[in-house]
Amino acid sequence: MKERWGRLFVLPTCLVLFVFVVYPICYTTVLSLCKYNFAFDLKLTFIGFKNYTDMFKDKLFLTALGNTMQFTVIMFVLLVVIALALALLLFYKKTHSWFFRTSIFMPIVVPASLICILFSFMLSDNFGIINKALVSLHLSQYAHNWLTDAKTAKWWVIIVSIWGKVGFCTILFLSGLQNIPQDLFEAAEIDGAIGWKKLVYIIIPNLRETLAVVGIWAVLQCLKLFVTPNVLTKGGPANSTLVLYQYIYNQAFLNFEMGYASAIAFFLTALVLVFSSLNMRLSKGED
Amino acid sequence: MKKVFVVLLVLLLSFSSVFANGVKDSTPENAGGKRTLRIAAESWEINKIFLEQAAKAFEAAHPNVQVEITTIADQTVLGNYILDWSKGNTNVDLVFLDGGVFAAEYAAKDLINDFDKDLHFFADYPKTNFKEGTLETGTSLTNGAQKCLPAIYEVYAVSVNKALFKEAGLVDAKGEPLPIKTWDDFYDFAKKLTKKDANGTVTQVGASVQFGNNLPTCIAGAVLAEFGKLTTSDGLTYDVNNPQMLHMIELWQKGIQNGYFSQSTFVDNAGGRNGYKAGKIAMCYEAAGRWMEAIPTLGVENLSLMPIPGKDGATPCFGCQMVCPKASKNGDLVCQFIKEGVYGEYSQTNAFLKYGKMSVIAKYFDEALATTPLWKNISVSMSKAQPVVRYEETQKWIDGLDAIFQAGLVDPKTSAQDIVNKMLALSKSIKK
Repeated sequence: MKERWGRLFVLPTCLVLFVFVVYPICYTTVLSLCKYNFAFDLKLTFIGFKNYTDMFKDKLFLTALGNTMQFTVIMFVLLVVIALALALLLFYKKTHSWFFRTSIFMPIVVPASLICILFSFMLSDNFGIINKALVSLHLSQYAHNWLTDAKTAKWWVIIVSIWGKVGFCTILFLSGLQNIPQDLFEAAEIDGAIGWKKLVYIIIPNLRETLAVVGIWAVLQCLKLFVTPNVLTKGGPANSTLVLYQYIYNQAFLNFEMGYASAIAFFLTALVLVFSSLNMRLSKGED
Repeated sequence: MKKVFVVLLVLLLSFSSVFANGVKDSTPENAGGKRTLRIAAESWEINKIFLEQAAKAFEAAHPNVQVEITTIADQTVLGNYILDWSKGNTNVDLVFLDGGVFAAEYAAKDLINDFDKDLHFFADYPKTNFKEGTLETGTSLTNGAQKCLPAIYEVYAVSVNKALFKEAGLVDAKGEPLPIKTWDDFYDFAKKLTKKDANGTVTQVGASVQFGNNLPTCIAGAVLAEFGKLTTSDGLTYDVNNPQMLHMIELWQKGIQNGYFSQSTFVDNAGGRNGYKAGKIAMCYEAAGRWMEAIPTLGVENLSLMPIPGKDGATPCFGCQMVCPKASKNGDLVCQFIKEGVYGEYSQTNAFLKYGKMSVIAKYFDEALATTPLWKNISVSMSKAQPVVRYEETQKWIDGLDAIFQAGLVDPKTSAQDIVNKMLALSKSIKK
């Protein structure tokens, strides 16, 4: 009887999952094996794995993949390190910590696209406030085409993305730090473990589970980076900040190549699974 | 009782999640015989074509009609209409397309009405009402069929900051800016108009060319201005592989690498026009209406307009196009609204006089031209205006050209011939 009621209660959720998750995944799988331009083709044409093989011959796909990997590695490392550093600062800072917590978490609640629009105005070559300030302070030699130079544009995509996401990771780490038993710290101090030794031998081992959660979240955020390169630089200059997610979007909704976009989407899903598994293995260590 | 309540709740949740399907198609006919005309446009189109005013006037003249205007977030939303219209559903009757984007896609699937054959628009509104060449901005997108109607009309030109020209000594005896006859002039003027401080940092840029989404039109404009025609004999390939265009691209490269041309449009389509309006860029090669946008910040006395450099003086033209889906049952209302509202004196004249969006109706175009003398600077150019050839894979063309030029212009090792070769290779690879 209870079982029957239980099934009845989960039925709506199952229906929603089926309609919005299972069915789209199945249809996308079918699409990825077909050639289908939504605007110009009347029906799907089955081509097997051609979309998958064509991907690796597509220079733009390889560029987007390379950029995505670059951003993922750099952003992941910086996100974890900066978030942990901020969490440690908040953990040890006892006075006015509410102000610092709010300041660090505030960017999370601001829409990413708004952040990017503001930064694009600030970084503008011709009338941006950053270049204007540098010229006013007689530091004009440091003024630069921040977003139109491929090298600096990449770094600004990373900086703006980290600025918007570090708050969430910091809060997770802070929560993890607060769950470490105080006796461990006291015992460590008695044994002479201070400074970086405390960090390496006490804090990080006890933050393993938090590191796993933060790691998976950070990897997902890095791999599905879209808003920052799309709004800040539109994937430019010269595709130097084009990422996979954006390339999928462009193929599906600007070029209407649904089959090809579906294949790339599956590839990205596989990448996410690989990175997430790797992260979990590294975080679990020798458990 | 509790069990019955629980079962009803579960059923309600199940049905609502299965059958909730977002926006239902609103029926065009409300109770009491009142009809609803549904219009979709981007916010700039609503403002600059005065659609709200046109809607109010239309409602006042036709009390049995209600006009609903929906703002489209951006052009990518327009692709969603293909889904709805393919199923015979629509929640709009009239859609405005910036530059006619997606018109070819809609026409390919036969989703939009032919204003001539299906809606008989010209039965009581002759084509002679239109300024010459404006209707072709629509037919050129849809293989000669009038599946779009232009709402407004634009050409390309060089908007100039007269005050900066005076400062640089680039004016004639009457104080008018010297004419920019060739791309060498454009480059030389940009060089003289660029200011750098002691550290070599550019504080005022000489010129901006649209190296973003409108790069194909800028290139087309340069070709038309030089040769009077855009393509080679195949009618599809841009005629760029010649000494004149190679020299122009070399000048663009030098301009970018020396800091005389702005790079802001590499990542921001509005970078050039915003810099021009802020008085930081002296020449802006884009849609001709940019000079009017700068009136509030720079003052009309400090502005001027010139044709694109070149021997022939032609220019590309394009228009914000209007389409009516076949799924709409209000084709007659759409035609009436266009004739009375969009093509009415208020919208057509004010769009031209306030925003530089030229009227497609010959009478209002000539009247507005007479009241704004600066437009006469490009009147010869306008008389030679031609629509730019559109490809089936237009987005690939735009993205590919952007990548080629944005990489090639900044790289001293890339020659103009390399850029043109890549451009021609791209042209061969896309579907036309």
